Amino acid sequence: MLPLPESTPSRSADAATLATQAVAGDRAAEALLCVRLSPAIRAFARRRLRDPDATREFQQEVLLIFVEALRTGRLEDPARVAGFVLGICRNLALDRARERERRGKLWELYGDSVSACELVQPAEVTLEIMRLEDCLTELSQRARQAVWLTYGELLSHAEVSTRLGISEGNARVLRHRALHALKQCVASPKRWEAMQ
Amino acid sequence: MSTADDSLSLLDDYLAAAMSDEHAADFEEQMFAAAAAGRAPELGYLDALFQQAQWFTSRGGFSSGATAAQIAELRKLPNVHYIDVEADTRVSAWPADTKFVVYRLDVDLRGYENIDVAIVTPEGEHRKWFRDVAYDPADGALYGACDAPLAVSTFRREPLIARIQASRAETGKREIVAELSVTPR
Repeated sequence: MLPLPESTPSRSADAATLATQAVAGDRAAEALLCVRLSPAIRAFARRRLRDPDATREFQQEVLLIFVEALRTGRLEDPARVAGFVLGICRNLALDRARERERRGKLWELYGDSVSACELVQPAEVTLEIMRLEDCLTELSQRARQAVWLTYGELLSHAEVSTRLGISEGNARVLRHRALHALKQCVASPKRWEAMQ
Repeated sequence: MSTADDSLSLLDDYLAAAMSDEHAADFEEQMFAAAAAGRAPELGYLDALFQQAQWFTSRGGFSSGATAAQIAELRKLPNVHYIDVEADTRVSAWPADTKFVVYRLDVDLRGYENIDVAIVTPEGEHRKWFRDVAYDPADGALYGACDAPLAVSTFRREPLIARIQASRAETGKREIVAELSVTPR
């Protein structure tokens, strides 16, 4: 998880409250909104781009525009902050080329603020990675492959089913079951953690 | 987003493009609203899975099992400890700066398929499964590598037995091929 400023607002605060605070100049609320929305922005980008670098760049660009909008009072209805960010994503997806030049200028102005919300690729193994490594061994080879092809090799659903040599329906069920099993497994502390 | 199970499946469909664009447009509204409200744990889970999966690319993905040649290459790196697991193996503590533990299980699995390794205590208490592992076709042995903290629970905490179960390729008969015991020294 990314570090947040010391004056972090309540993590249970609703989006409209956070957006209102952010528009009023509360940088901690702004940062928390960015952190909350970043996974959704990345999901939006991953569905379309299927490339880690392009996803990172897209997220960065959306957040730059979002922060600028907050600080210049362009978010008129704080209750609709989620839709506002989704709108940014859609507009950006429609015409990224037009925005590329603008991004350089925004980066100079707001780059420092946005960099705190960026996705950090771990250089060293983390507890979460070790849990995943541990849990993967309990899946069948086919289930591991289904998850790997989608989330590691970033293939589309149709490509995954072709690679596995099974129907799209079967690939979907296989992946869903594997994801649920993994989620349950990684959420629980492991025996080896007690020995750290 | 609705219930956690439904949400996870829907999000997977969305990400894998197993959802129509029309449906995806509606789903995006829900996804962003849930994210902004801090009520999208499944989004955080799959977001983390994407990031962590990229880390695994340097290790050849999510495959389970390695070849002798791969293990030989790993052994050339610093901070790698090797364990040769035979019928009754005593394992000493490895250096504190060890990052990876690589190992070979002395078994010949040529002619077998659907190989699972159950880690159990001498009293029969189950500890862990390694499912669908791959053996080296050259010598039939099992090779593996894992991060040192994970290896502690298998090799250094308590006496354990690796029970290797597989099906004969010709007949499909399921059997225990070998039991290798490991005891911390």
